[in-house]
Amino acid sequence: MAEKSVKTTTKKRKGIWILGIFFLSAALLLGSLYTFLPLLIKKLAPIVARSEGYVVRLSEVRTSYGFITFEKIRISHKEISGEIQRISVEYSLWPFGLNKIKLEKPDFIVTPEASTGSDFRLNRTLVGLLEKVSIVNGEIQLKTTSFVTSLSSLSIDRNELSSSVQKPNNLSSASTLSGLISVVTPGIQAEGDLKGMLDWNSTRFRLVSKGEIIVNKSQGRTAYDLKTSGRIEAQMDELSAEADLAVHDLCSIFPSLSRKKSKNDSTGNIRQPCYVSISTSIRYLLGEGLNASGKLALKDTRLSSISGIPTIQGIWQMKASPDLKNGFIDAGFEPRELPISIKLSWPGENGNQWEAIAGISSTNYDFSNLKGSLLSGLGNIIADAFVTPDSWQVSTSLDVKDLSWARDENYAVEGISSKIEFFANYDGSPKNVSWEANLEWNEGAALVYPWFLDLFQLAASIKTTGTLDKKKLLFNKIAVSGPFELVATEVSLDYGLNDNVAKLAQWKMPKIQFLKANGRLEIPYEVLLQEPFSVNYGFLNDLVPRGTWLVELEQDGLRTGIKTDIFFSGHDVIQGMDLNLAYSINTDKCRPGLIKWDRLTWPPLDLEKTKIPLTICKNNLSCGQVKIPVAQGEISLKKISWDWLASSLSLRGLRLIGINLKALWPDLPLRVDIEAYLDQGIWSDPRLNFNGELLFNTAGGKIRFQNIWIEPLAPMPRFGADVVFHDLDLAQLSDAAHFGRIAGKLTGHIDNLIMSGGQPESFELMMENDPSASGPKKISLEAVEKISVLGGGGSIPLFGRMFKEFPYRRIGISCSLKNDMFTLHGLIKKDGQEYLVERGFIRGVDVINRNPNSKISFKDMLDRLKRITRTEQE
Amino acid sequence: MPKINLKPALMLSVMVFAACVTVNIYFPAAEVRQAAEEIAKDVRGQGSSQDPADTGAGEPQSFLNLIGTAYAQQELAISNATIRQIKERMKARYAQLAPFLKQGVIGESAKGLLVIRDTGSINLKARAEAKRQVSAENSDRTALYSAVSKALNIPGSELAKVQEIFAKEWQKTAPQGTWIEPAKGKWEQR
Repeated sequence: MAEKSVKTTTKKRKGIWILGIFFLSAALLLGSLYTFLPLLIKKLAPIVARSEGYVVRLSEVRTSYGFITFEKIRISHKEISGEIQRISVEYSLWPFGLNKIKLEKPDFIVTPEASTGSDFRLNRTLVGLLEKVSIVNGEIQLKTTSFVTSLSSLSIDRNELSSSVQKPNNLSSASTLSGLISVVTPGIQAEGDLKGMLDWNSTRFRLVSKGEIIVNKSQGRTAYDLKTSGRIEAQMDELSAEADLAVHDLCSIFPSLSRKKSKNDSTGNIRQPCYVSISTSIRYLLGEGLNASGKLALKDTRLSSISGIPTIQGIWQMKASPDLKNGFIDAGFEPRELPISIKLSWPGENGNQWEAIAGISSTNYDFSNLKGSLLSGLGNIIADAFVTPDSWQVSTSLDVKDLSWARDENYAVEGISSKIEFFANYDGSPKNVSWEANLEWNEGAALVYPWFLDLFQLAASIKTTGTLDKKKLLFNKIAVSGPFELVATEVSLDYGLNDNVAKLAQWKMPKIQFLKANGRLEIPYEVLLQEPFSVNYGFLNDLVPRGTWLVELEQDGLRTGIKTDIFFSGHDVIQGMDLNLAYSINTDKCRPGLIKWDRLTWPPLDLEKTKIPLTICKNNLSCGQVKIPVAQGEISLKKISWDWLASSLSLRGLRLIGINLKALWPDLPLRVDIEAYLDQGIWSDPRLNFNGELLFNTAGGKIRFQNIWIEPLAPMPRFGADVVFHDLDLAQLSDAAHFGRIAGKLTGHIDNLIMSGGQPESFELMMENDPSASGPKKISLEAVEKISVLGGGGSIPLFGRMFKEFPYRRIGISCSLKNDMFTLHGLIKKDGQEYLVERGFIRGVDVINRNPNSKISFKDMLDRLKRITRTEQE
Repeated sequence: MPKINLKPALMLSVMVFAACVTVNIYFPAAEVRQAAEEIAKDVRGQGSSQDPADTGAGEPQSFLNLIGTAYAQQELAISNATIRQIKERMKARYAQLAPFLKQGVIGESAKGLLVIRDTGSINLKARAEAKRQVSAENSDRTALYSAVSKALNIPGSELAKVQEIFAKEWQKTAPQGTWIEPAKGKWEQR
């Protein structure tokens, strides 16, 4: 029993020892393994890699629980070589899996080779797209001839994605990626973050990037959003993806696309934002190249304001060789149903060589599609542009029929038939662009209020050729043929360009080598003056010129000449008129002019061979030292001047000397000689006030007009003055007026006389016989009767009619007019009564105003005057 | 020092001062209305018929006739040479304006002026003509309102009232088919 017990004990001890030795061995093995694992890895890894075609050398491998760290790993392959300073691997033993791999300072160069082996196809796929991939200090750089893409701060994590993320993209077993991306081209660069996911099983991926696009030169910035998703084929020889790129304000980096500027009170001009979005479907097949197509939308750009469409949309497609060294992009737009095609191709080995062809072609295009309903009509449009980096050509032809357009009630065209051609060529020479433009019209009408232009009557063609550079627009030749002929050569317009090419800075006056224009006078007179202004100035309907006009360039100015006869109501009122005027250009120098005529016949005026010198200064036309013989006398003028900008008129030294009105109107019952001394006429809008007086010598006495003014531009031309008269022989006056006969001298005055359109508007008249005058004071029966009629009636007693005339002591009458109401008073107050005529000492007749408060309407007064004239006629 | 109560003195001063202020408010609406009615009817041929003998044509020449010849027109409540002649010009123009009024091309505004309403039915030449006639008519109407105001001693600040009164008369006498604006911004067709 004891022996059995000893045996059992011995067996147990042996088992314990074996177990102990096993565990000790296992521990030692594991310890050795743990201790020598880095060395093992260091030795085995190059062997394993070599079997895959890689040469790998590790400087050091360190392990700890859940971590392995590789130091200074050199890897080379026939297409890739480089060094990684450290690779940190984080793993879990149970369940076993890699949690994180971190690469520190990887520095690689990938160089494409001609080999088409299948062992590194992804690399070649990338290299096919890109010329060079390098990883320097952890930054991956993808370089092409035209841009460099850099990925930095990359972090790749394998995550169990939540179902909400997986479902829409069908991603499983995905890794997430985050980092920074920058794309640099010579003109612009983009910087932003990068987030994405890659499903290793399905090879589906999704990348999202947000950041800024920056223009290198101007440092203009705008935000972008890029979303792309797609799939890499399992064999690594095909890539397909969908991408959406949105640039929030394209105009801030390309100002020339800006629609318009608006004012900001505090900061001045601000640009209106414009937006671009591109959607793309990309398919890249190894050996076939890159195929992409998609849609492009531009919103609120300059194109929008031209076409009137807020968003311009189009489709595009691209085909390119695997190395992108040649290919083309075709884009098509149809804004307002106007087909526009653009083709950009880069056919050469040299990546800088490219060319673009843009074209518009439409037959019977309906212009009502453009800009709302303001434009209508049909037209054939052909426009082509060919552009290379060094040159371009543009050719356009527009043939319109029945075109109508209206901006508002003042500017419109209707039924226009016109042809416009434009050619331009830039051959790369630094000097200029040469161009040719032709325009002709032969039908339709245009309204540029107040002018209406019948374009059938005014059919014309304009042909121009010229050149353009950054400082000057030069018309080599301008030729107009139509209602007038015009030829101009070497017309140059200097201007400066600011940073915005499309915006022209301050234009200067053109320099012209030669200019001559001439034509008949009838059509421009009818179109430019008669038709628009005869509504207000009816005399224009009766006025017709028959002659020619000429405009010629002279040194520092223009000279115009008009040779014409002028007809008024069918009568040739001015024969052989010659008007020559000259204007200075670019200087303030005054230039002389002349108006002369062979004969002016404007009854009662009849002037032969007259010359009037004129002077034109900046905005001022004047004539001076004029002497015109008129009616046995003379009209002389020192100077009359008209400033058309200030709408002011001034006059100096107007003299009328010895003008006999009876010579002008032989039927005039009295001789009237006029003299005037109007030293100065001063304009005070709307009135021209004269200093001086106008004197009428008639009937042995004088009538003086003082404080004279005229309002020539008032709705009704008005004239005003204060009048004083004296020593007028009443006998002559009463005879001339068929007013009976009154002997005596008349004196008096008219205050505040205003004539409107030739009719009296208001006045205050006082007249009486001059008591100091010698000679008889007699008044005829007829004159008494007519004074009575003017006063409102009254009859002479029968016995009074026995006498043909009566002595009078005094005549005194005052009369005023205001608001078409006359008041008539006798100036002689006696016994509480007003006498218009007071009888003589012994006998005579009294004319008494019985109703001194009565007012006589203008119409009644006219009736009374008619009764007087009827009586006289009877 | 005795305390002086200034309050009653101050109030008295204010009352005295206020009593000195005289405000004269007078707008001769009845006269303007009568003038507007007479002028509108006369211009549009709706007034009393003329005596052909009053045309003044064929009158014997006389020195007295230098004052003028043709004043053959209705006698107005308020008038002068300017008003008379503007009215005559408007009367002559009405023959050209009437077709445009009837077609609804131009309308009578609440300010007593003509406005272009709808030129869609006429060609460009007619549109130019309509605009010119409207421009000339408005120029005359503005001068007329100013002349009437001046004749009635109405200050310039009250010119809008004169225009409103005239507007009603122009609208009342407008032919059928004319667009009128009885109240500001509200257009209707007669």
